[in-house]
Amino acid sequence: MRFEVWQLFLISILYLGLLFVIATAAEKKWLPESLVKHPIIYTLSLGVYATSWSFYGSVGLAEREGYTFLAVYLGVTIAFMASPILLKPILRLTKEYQLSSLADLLAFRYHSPFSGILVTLLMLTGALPYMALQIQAVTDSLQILTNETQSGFISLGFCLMITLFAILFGARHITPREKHEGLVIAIAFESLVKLVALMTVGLYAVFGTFNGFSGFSSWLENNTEATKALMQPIHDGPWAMMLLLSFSAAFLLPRQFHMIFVENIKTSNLNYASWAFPLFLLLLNISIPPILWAGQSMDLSYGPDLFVLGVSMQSQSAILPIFIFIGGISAASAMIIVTTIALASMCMNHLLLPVSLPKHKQQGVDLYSLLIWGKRILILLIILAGYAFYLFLQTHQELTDLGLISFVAVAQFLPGIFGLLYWNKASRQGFVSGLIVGALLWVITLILPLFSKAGWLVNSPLENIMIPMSSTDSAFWTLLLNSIFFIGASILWPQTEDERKAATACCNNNQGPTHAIPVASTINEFESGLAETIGSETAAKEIKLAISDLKLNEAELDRSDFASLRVQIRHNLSGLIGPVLAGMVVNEQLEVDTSAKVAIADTIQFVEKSLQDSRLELKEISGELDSLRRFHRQVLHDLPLAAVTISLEYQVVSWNKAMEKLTGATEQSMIGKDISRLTSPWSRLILNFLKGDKAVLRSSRINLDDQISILNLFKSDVSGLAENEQHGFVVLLQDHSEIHQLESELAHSERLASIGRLATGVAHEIGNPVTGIACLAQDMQAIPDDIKLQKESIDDILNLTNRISTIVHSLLSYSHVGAEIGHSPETVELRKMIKESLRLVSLSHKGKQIHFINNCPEELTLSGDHQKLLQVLVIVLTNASDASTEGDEVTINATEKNNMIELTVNDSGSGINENILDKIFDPFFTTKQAGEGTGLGLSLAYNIIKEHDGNIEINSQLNKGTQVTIRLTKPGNTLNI
Amino acid sequence: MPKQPYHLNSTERTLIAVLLIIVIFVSPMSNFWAALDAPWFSPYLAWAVAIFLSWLLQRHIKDSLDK
Repeated sequence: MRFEVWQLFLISILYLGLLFVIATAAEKKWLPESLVKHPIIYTLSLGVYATSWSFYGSVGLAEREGYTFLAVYLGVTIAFMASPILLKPILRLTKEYQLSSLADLLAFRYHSPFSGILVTLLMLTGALPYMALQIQAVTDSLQILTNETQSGFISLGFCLMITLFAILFGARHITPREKHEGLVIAIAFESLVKLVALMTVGLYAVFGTFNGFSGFSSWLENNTEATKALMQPIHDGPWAMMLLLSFSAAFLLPRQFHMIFVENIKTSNLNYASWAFPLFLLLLNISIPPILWAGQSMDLSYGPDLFVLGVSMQSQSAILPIFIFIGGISAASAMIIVTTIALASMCMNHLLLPVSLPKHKQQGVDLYSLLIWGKRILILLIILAGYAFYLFLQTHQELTDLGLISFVAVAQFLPGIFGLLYWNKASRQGFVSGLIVGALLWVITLILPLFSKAGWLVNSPLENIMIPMSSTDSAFWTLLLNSIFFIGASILWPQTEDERKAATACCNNNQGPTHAIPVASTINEFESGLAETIGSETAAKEIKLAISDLKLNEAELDRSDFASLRVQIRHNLSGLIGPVLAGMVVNEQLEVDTSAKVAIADTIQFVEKSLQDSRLELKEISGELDSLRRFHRQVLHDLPLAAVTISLEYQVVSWNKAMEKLTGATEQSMIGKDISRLTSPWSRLILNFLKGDKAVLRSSRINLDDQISILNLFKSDVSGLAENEQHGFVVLLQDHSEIHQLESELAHSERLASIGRLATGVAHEIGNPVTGIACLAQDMQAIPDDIKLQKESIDDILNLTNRISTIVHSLLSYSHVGAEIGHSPETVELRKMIKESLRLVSLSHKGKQIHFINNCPEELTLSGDHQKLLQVLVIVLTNASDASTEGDEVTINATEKNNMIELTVNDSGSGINENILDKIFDPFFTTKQAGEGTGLGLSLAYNIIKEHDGNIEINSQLNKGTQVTIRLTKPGNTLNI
Repeated sequence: MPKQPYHLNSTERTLIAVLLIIVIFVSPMSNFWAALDAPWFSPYLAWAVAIFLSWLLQRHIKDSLDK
């Protein structure tokens, strides 16, 4: 059965067109997201590992090396099984630092642009034989199906077609942080096609050639050598070295790295792939022995590398060979497309941009367009280089030989990767020297002999230096020397400070407190800084993206936010232009303010996270100390009192549970942030308190959701080890609202009790004028015609009713419930208030017998709650009159001193015994007889004065008298919230 | 006080499983599944065991990187 070249080309174009439709459907969200992001799609997309080598070449390798061909997939199984300690840490780094290729990753770890260049060049060189392999396989399959001998036209046509689709899939637009969902689903579809095609040939081999499983079994019984031939090389062949090579290729080949790490949407997909991907490979390879034996039993004229196609052509149908051809196209196109996309990104970041970015800086070209066009051109050049390599070789090579050359090339990165993950002392010199030695030996042992075999080194001096050996032997020697140089040079040349930081970031889970404060402190300064290198449009977009990534509010950015923004921009730019250039751009254009301290909040966060994430469990004393640290931290966290620790730069260092409950702001949202980021009125309250001199602030009123809360605030400096060293402040907030309410109720009860005690005096005071009014009324009734008397009587009656009214008003006013929560302080005229209190005290029998002298100047005013302050005066004056005897004087003086009003009440009464002087402010302590006092008076007075930010003192001498001194704030000196 | 049972973390489980698989595939244990008179599919069975172990390993892993 023969086909025309144009027919197969048309089929190829239609098939690739179908892939493009599938990719577009995924990108345009026509396909359900649950399907696109399903782990099975991710797993199938990793099937890009199976190229033409697997599809066609596995049968050839099985024929030559027996079951050794399975090692190419068993190494992958081991790598994926080790995913929690091998692939996951790499995935974390690529996600956190936006690293889009192996060159980015290694250049980031070893902090060297040269490392990136070296890795890119070796990757590129190593990929060329592999791409040549794909072109050769497709060309061979086309030649067999068409019987066409002119292979040049066929292979060039295939390359140009693949270039078009590679650009369409991977370089249509710049998507550094978005994943190429279309590419992933298209590659997954291709993997499915490969699997179904190969399994179909396998089934055809069993049922079509051997007439079913029984025929297959009896053929094996008759040909016992067939199984032995497959088993024997496991014992004799390079089994272990093949396992090692495929282990490294599983995640280091450019296409594998791209699909596993760069295109990963969810980390959990990797868990799924850790068993599902090896299962896919097992299913893909289970058909290989039946196909090999079917080909051998048919005695096909093609080499075993093309048995898959040859067996299918024995079927009478044209569909099976076409399906196998499409499977082959799938294998080759997927490899070339993903490899070129990955290599283009590497070449862009490590070869092209370092040269073109400085020029571009002067010309002011937009970075995005430079990237997109650069990538397109690079894709074309890389595919053409692969084609040139294919032409260059001329003579046909075994497919697996070409593939193994690439495997040995990428295996040279293994020492570097193990240094990256597990040895934080590995240095740049170690990595670079090891890689150079390994790469040179790879060229001498594998590449030069390949050229020599193709007839390109005849009479060349290079022919003298080449040392031909098998791929597995080459892998052993190159890796051995590479590792020796890597370890030796790392020990001889210690790391730089930047390398050490990068090593810490890679080996541990975080990089340390690197949130340095930038000089630029506005968005405009950030934009103009970045615009100089990456263009104004790109700069604006990148800043917007970083703000959105950090979930910040552009209008409310503080210095710590700008520090985080600088780091985020660097990470994001790393996804676009690689970590080395991103670091250079950010360091040059967004300079760090060297005078600004790294915030203590960052340091504490870093230490906390490091300890939490530590891979090694802390032992013995370290473990005990860690437990103690956690205990103290937990105590602070669970404290029922709201507590916040703030650095000298006003950044929040710790934020406990009660603080979360009180303010509604979570610990996570506040740690490391400026305290001014807290919502109003909290930020103002805490900041004013921090900036003020007072260590205690009582009864601050704040309005929360139309409800007034009363808070007491306390602060203390957090001192360091050295003298006068201060790290910050700790602030405690106590919600006093409920206690305040109870105190108000108690004060009201005490007032009512006082009124009860005044009742006799009140009755007397009201009774007298009432009697007078009655007498006057009787006189007016008796002499109705005396107009003058009538007039005088009416005036007297009015005076007497006024007197009654004043007494009643005073009582009512005094007994009124105290100011409610939320009542704002008022200005109180002191003299007037003293007069009012004297009027009340004089209602009592005792009060009438005392001579009160009010020396308070008219102009003195106070700020506070009139009702409460009146109560204090009534308590103090009642005590004074109770202690005095009939005819004694009680003097009230008031003066202004240092913005404070000092009020003194002096009596010459019985005084207070020195033994009980320290108890008189205790609640329910009284020296009076039962029924004469509650023992709450002075206790309440003390609380009221403290609440008004003042103080009360009592000096007394037994039998000589007592002086009560009250100091209160003048209006305008209170803390207004 | 009775001793708490020791639970392996994911790293320890992974290391043990990888070592086990290396022993199966690279040590003289390969003589069992790659014996010259073994059924042709025995390497695939050994491979399936490795896949089953991988499946067991990843069942309890939770990922903090997923948002």
